[in-house]
Order: sequence, then C-alpha cells, then structure tokens
Amino acid sequence: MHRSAAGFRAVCLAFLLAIVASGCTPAYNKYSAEFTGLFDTVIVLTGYAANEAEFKNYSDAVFGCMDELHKLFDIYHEYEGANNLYTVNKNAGVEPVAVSAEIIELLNMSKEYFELSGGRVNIALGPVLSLWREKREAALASPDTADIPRPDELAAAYELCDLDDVIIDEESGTVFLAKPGMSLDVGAIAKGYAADQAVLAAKEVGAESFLLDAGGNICAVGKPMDGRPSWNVGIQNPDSERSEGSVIDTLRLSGAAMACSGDYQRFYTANGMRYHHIIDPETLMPANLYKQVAVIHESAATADALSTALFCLPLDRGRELAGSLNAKAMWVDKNGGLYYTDDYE
Amino acid sequence: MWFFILILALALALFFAFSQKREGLSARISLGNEVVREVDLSEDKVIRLDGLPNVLLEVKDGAIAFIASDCPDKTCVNTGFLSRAGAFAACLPNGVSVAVVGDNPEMDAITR
Repeated sequence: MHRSAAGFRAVCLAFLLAIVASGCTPAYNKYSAEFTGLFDTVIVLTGYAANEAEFKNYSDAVFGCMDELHKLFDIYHEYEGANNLYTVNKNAGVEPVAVSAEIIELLNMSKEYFELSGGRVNIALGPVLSLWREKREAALASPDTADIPRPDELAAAYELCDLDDVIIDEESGTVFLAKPGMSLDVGAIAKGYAADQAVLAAKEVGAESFLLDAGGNICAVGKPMDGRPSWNVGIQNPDSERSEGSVIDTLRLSGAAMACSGDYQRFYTANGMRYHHIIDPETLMPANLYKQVAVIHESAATADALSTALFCLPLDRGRELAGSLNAKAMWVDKNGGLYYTDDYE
Repeated sequence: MWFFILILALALALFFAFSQKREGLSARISLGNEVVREVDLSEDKVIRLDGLPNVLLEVKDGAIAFIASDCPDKTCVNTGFLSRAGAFAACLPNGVSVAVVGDNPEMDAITR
C-alpha cells in the first residue's frame, strides 16, 4: 500500500517533469491572424489559446472593436447609423455634431497631449496635412512632376489649425469646429487608442496572453503561455529598406505597449528629396531630427501620441516629456546614432 | 525502486523536451482577413493570386516577397524578402498581406 502510493507520486512527478521540460503547457497553442483594411495599416494578432475556435473568438473581438473605431475616426468616408469625424469635418463652421462617447474621449485625450507636447500633437492640423497628402498622392501618380506645398499655402492652411476652435460639449455630447475649412486628423493617436480598446475587448472574452500589432502600435498582454516571462518584439532597422533581415533592437514586453514613428513609414520623393508624413506643427514641414523613435508605455494611446511628439522635439525636451509621463524611449538620429531614456532596457 | 522510477521520469522528461516538432517556415497569404494560401518556404516558386493578376509574390531561398504590384506606392515591394517567423508585408491598396509563420522562439513579432 505504502509502496504503491509512492509509485503513484513518482508517476505524477514524471508527468510534471515532462511538462516542465517540454517548455510549454500542452493545453495551449500559439496562433496568429492578420487583418488589412482598417486604419490604413495591417493589424496582426498573435496569441495563445486552447484551440483555433477559441483564438477565433479573440481575433473576432479585436478586429470587431477596431472595425467599429475605424469607422468612427474615419475622415474620408461616411457610414450609415452614426456620425463620425467625417461628419464633424463636413460641419465645420456650420453646426455642432452629436458624436459617440469614444470620439469625445479621443478628442479630450488629444487636447491633453497638445498641452503636454507643447503643441507637437495637434489633431486640428487637418488643413495642413491635407496639403501634404494631396502632394504625396499626386507624386505617387506621376513622380516626374512631384513637388511640395508652397510656404504661403501652408501658412494660410495653418490659420485654420487652432485647437481652441475645436469645441467639445460633453453635456450634450457634441463637437463643433468653429471655423469653416477646419478639419480634424487623428492619425497621431487613433491607432494607439483603438489598440487599447481592442485589448479590453479581447480580455472581456477571456484572452489573457496575446500580442497585438496595429501598424506599429504594439500591445503585449500577459506572458506567452510557453513559459517565457515576456513577449519578444523586434524593431526593424530603419535602414534595411529592402529586407526585414536586420533588427535594431529586441524588446521584452509584458503588460506594456510600444509605438514607433519613423521617416521610412510613408514618404514620397520630389526633386531628389524625400518627404515623409510626420509634419512638425512648428515648421509645417516633415520633422527632420530623427529616423525613428520608439516609445514604451502602459497605454498604447500615450505611446502613440508620444512617439509623434518625440519625433518632432529636440532630444533634451523629448527626454523631459518622456520622463514626466513615465515612458521609456529610444531615438535613432539621422546618422544612425542611438539615444535612450535612462530606464530603457 | 524509487530511484528507478525517478530515472524513468527524467528519461520521459528529456524525451518530451526533444521530441517537439521543429517545423520549417511557411507563409500565410491573406486577402482582407481571409487566409487564401499557405506556402512552404523551402520550395522556390512564383505565386499569383486568383483575381489579382497584377500582384506577384516570389518564394526564394527560404524567404518570400512581393516582387510586383499595380499599387501606386509599392510599399509592399519595397518591404523586400521576409525570412523570419513574425515578419509580415502588406499591399494595402490590394488588401493582400503575407505573414511568415513557424517556430521562432526568439521573436513573437517584428515591427517597423
């Protein structure tokens, strides 16, 4: 009797050892799914689940949430059933537009980041960004005649970029752009905000171990279920344009978000010069201090907004801003020089 | 007896540790959010997708890339060859994405 109990214990131990040594809990598998068509980017979900059906549940929650927010923050199309930022822009100088709580929340956050960043994150910059977008699209269609917006055009457009003219009425749930010709563009924060919301949606249906990459806005939730203490995320070297072969840094993330801003993400060439898409509100030209900035913070919205702000700010002011928000950051300057916040690992 | 069982347990543990399948890399090609092809990256080939005659992908030396596309920005072609699990490329105007999948213990995702 005594002997068989000991034997039983040993067999249990054998199984436990087998599980530990094989390095994973056999009940979970790693899955991934991609989604194109939202926020003008690719959304990739990687995660652990008991089976494919369970993972499908998680990915449906993530993509469903992002799809909804994409429609709300879309400035190019109208959708039936709800007012979105397109509706708000269309009614600039006309009347206040009733919008969902998510839009109000995003706009309030954006106003906060405008203050914090000394005006570097400005969602009212729409008229200026439109000029650059028109030039970029024209350049892609006919590269030979590519050019950039004239300074006087940019200055005139900037007259309509005052964030104080974006009037939010929380009581009645409306947004009003006070002057005709104004327009919102939430590109600097919307993907991060949406990623945060999608993480909550996935957690609600039971997901606890996953990595969400929404076009460079990464949320690492929980730990990988294969026993590793954190998720490994590679940041691609901005110089290796033609291959993913080299990785500039590998981050170990758990319960954190990361965002990248770079001059290689979206750009066009005119008269031999490269013009990328991150416009400095101070100069109304593409910010030209760095090639790439990566920011780590617990909130993806903060990381997203901050990566744009740091991309436009001199290093010392950027360090100060990152520190004040408990964010970690990495900068890659024009010559490939690397700079970090003190606590960056 | 005790000792014998313990040795057996260790042997079993080692067996499990090393018998984990080491799969080669493959690429998953999606249209929208629907997977349309899974291709083994160990075999060189050129891939054309149904309904998208102007998009060409190539598998070469264990890597995959968009080699032609009728999109205006050519971001997909400029991404180049993908050879690590976790890497992906996309042609947004055509709604095509390619993700490299396989065992990659070092990297869960690669971002730009």
